[in-house]
Amino acid sequence: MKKIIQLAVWVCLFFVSDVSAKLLPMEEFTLDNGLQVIVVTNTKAPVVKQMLWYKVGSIDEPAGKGGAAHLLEHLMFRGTSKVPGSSFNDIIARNGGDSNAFTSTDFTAYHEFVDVSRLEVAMALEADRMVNLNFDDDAFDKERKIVFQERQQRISNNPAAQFAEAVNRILWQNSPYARPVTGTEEEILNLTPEDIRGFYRRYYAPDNAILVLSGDIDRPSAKMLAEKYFGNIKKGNRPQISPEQEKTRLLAGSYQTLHHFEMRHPEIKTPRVIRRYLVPSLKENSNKAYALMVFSKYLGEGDSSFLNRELVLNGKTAAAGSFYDSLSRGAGVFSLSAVPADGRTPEETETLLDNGLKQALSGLTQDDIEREKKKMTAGLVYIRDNPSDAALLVGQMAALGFDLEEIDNYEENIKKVSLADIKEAVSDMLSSSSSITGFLLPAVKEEQ
Amino acid sequence: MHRHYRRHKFSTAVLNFLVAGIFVYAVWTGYKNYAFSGFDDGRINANSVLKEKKFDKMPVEVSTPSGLKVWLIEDHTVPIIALSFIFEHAGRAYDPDGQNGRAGIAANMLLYGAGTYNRRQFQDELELNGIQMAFSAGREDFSGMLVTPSENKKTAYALLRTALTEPRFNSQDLSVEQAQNIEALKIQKERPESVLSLAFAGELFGAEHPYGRNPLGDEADIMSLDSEDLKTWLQSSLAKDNLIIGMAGDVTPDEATAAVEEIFSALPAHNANRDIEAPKMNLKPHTRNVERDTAQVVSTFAAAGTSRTAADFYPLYIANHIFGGSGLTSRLSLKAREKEGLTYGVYTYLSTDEKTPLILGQFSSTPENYPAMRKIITDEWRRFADKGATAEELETARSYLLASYNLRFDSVAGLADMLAAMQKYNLGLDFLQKRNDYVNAVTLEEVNTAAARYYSVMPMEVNIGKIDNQE
Repeated sequence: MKKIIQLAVWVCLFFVSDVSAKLLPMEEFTLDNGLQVIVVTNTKAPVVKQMLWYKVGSIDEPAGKGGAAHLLEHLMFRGTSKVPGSSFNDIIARNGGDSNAFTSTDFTAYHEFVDVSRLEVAMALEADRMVNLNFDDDAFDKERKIVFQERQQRISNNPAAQFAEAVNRILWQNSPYARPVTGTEEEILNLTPEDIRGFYRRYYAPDNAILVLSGDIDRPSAKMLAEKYFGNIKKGNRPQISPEQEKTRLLAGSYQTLHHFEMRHPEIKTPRVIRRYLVPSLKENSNKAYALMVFSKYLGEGDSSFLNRELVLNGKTAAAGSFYDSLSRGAGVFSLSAVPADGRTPEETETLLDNGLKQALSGLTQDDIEREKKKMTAGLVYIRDNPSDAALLVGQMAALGFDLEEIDNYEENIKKVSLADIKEAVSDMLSSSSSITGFLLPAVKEEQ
Repeated sequence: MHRHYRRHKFSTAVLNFLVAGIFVYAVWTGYKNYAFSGFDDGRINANSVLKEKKFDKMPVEVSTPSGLKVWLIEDHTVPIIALSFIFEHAGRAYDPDGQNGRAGIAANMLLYGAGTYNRRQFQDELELNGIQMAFSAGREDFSGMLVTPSENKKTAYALLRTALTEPRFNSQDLSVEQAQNIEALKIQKERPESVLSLAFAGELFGAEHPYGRNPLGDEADIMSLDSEDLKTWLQSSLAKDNLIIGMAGDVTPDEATAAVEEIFSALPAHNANRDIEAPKMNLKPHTRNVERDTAQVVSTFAAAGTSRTAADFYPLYIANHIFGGSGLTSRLSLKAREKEGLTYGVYTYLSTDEKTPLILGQFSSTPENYPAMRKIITDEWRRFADKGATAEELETARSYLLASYNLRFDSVAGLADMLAAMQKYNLGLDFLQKRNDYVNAVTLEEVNTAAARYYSVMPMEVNIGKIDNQE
C-alpha cells in the first residue's frame, strides 16, 4: 500500500495535465509554527483530499542509513500514544477514507481522500502523528520485513527496475540521488528503531511541512481547522544548512563524466538503450528548464514527436522517446530511450538516437516550437477537475520550495521560450553535461 | 438480544451484580477512552463544522433521433466534457481464430489518422486542442473515452466520429504496430507477474477458450493481419446495437443528444459478433507452479463468485471487503502483513464479468515466506466459511461503504465511466439514489450465508517462482 513514487510520475502529471495562470483557485497562509497551508477550492463534489508533505526524502538520509525515510513512512501507520497500533487504518476505514503515503528522493507525503464531513478526523489524525509517533519494537520488526518484501517485489522481481537503479548509481556518483529510495537490502535489515526515531524527531515538524487541502473547502474553514488541529504543535529545531552546503552535498561530482554501461540479465528478452544527461533543474535554472521542457516535448513525447516520426514510424527503432525530469532539489535529468528494431544492434540504435537529437535541434524552426508550446498549454483546464491531481501538483511544487506563482506562471513561462533558448540549453547539455549511456541486454547464451 | 433474555433465570443478586458490573465497565471504558486512547472520531464528526452534503447532480437518460441512449450527469463546475462508451461483445475474445491480437491493434490504430487527417495531423489536432481520446480492447468489451475542454468540443466530437467511422488503417502504420507488438510480446516474458497472468488465464479458462488467450495476441496471428482485417473488425464490431454511452460535465441534455447523434449515428445498426459461450472454469482446488528463478513467488488464486445483479451480490461484496478487500484492514492483510510482515501486500477482489463471476486474489512474498502465506490464506478461507464475519466487522465495512459514497464523484471522466458501467451491469438509472439502501439492507446472516457458500471450496492457485513442493 505505501508507495514509493519517483519524481517522474509527478513530472508526467505536470506536463500532461498542465497548469495555468489563475486556472487553479489556490490560496496560501502560514501558521505561527511555520506550517504552510495551501487551499485549492473545488466545489464539484463534497469531498476533500488532504495531503501532508514533509520536505524530507531519501536524499536526506545519513550515509549507510538508506531506506530510513521510507521505513519511517511505513511506521507512521503503526501508532501513536493516542492512536495505538494499527488504529489509524481502522479509524480512516470506518470514516470511509482512502489513505496512503509515498516517499521519494526529495519528499515524503501522506494523504487521505475523504467525505468533507469526515475531514476533521483525517486532520486530527495527521496532526497527532506529526508529533506523537510511538511504535513498539515488534511493529518496527514487522514493518522492516514488509519494506524488505516491498523492495523484492518492486525491484528484485523486475529486471528493468534493477537496470534503472544501476544507471542512477553510476550517473549520480557520490550524490545522495545515486541511492535507491528503498535503501539496499543490507541497509534495510540494519536499520534500528533509534535510527527511525531520530530521523522522525529531526525532520517531522510543522515548519518542515506543507498541508494541502484540495476540494470542497474554502479558505476561512481551512484556516480555522488548520489552527485547531495543527496550531498548537511546536516548531521543530532542525539545524539549518546553507543553500551552498546543500548544493555541494547533492552534486554528482565536480567533473564531467561520460559513462557507458551494460547490464546483461537472464530474464531480458529484447534490448533497451538509454541515455541520461544531468542538466539544470527548474530550481537551478528556470530559463533553461522551460527550454528543455519544450525541446523534450518536441523531440520525444507523443506520437507526433520527432523521434517517433523519424525513427519509429520509419522502422529504424521499435520505440523511441525522451523525457525531462525538472523537479528536484538538485540537478534535473534529460533522458532518451529506445528499443532497437528487430535486427539492429544497441550500438546502431545509440547512434540513431544521437543523430536524431542533433537533427531535431538543427532543423528546429520557430513554427515547430510554437506548435509544441500550444500543445503544452492546451489542456490546462484539466488540473481543475480532480482535487487529488491538484493536490499532488501544488504539494510537490511547494515541497520543492517553489512559490505557487511558479504554477500560475507556467503558461507564460512556456510561451516565453525562444528558439535561441532551446539551442543554448541543448548545446550546453551535449557539450558539458555528465551523461550515461546504458544497454540492458539479454544474457549471453553459452556456446552449444 | 437472546442472551439478555435468558438472564431472567438468574437470581436477583446475580442480576444486580451484572448490572453493577456493566456500570463499572461503562465508566471504566469511558475513562479509558478519555485517558488512554483519547481519539474519539465519533465526537469529532458530531462537532464537525463541515457538515455532510449530498452530491445532488443525478443522472438523466436522453435519447437521440436515431435511437441511441445516453446517461448524463450535468455538471458545469469545470469547463470539461467527458464521454465514456462501451461496445459490448467486441473485445479481444471476439478476435477470430488465427487473428488473435486484432482488436488490440485496432484500438491503437483508430488513433493513427482518419478521414482527411493523416496520422500526424490527427495526433496534432488532438494535442493542440487538449483533447484526450483513447480506445481499449478488453477481454469481453471494446471501450473508449473522450475528454475535452468545452471550448474545443466541436473539434473533439468531429475527431471521434471520424476515428470510429473512417479510420485509415494505413498499411505502413500497421507494419510499425505489428513490429511493436512483437517487441511487447518479448517484454511480456520478462516480468514474473505478466508470465503468471498468462499461465493463470490458461489454467482457469482453458487454452482453447478465447478467455485463455494472450491479451497481446499471438505472434503469427499479429503478423498475418492486414488493413482489410481491421476494416472487417470495424464493420462487424462497432455498431449501434451494442453501444453503451455515459457522458458527464459541462454539457446540457440537448447538447449531449446532439453530440452523441453526431458522433455515433453513422455506425452500422447491428454488430455481427455472435456472443461466445462462457468458459468452463477449472475451479477445482489445486495449485500449479510455473517454475522460475525469481526473487519472490507471485501467487494468484480464484474461487467462484457471483454476478453483479445477483441477490447475494452485496452480501458477497461485503464479505470480500472484510476478508481481503482493499486497504490494510482486511483479515488477510492484518494476519499476513501487519501481524507477520510476510508480504508487502495481499488482497482479494470480486470480478463481476457476466461470464466469469469470481473471487480473485494475489500476493507476492520471498520463497521462504510462501508456505506461511499459503497457510494463512487457506486457514482464513476455511475459518471464514465456517464462522463467517462478526457483527463488528460488518458494521465497520458498512460504515466504510456508506461514508465513502461521495468519493466516486471526484472527476468528470470518472462520472462518465460510472454511467457507462451502471448501464452495462443493469443497475438502473436510480442506482445512485438507492446504493446506500442496498448496503444498509445487508444483514450479518446474509453475509455469513455468502461466506459459507463461496468460501466452502478452497481457491485454485497458480504461482510463479521457486517453491518447495515437498510440503
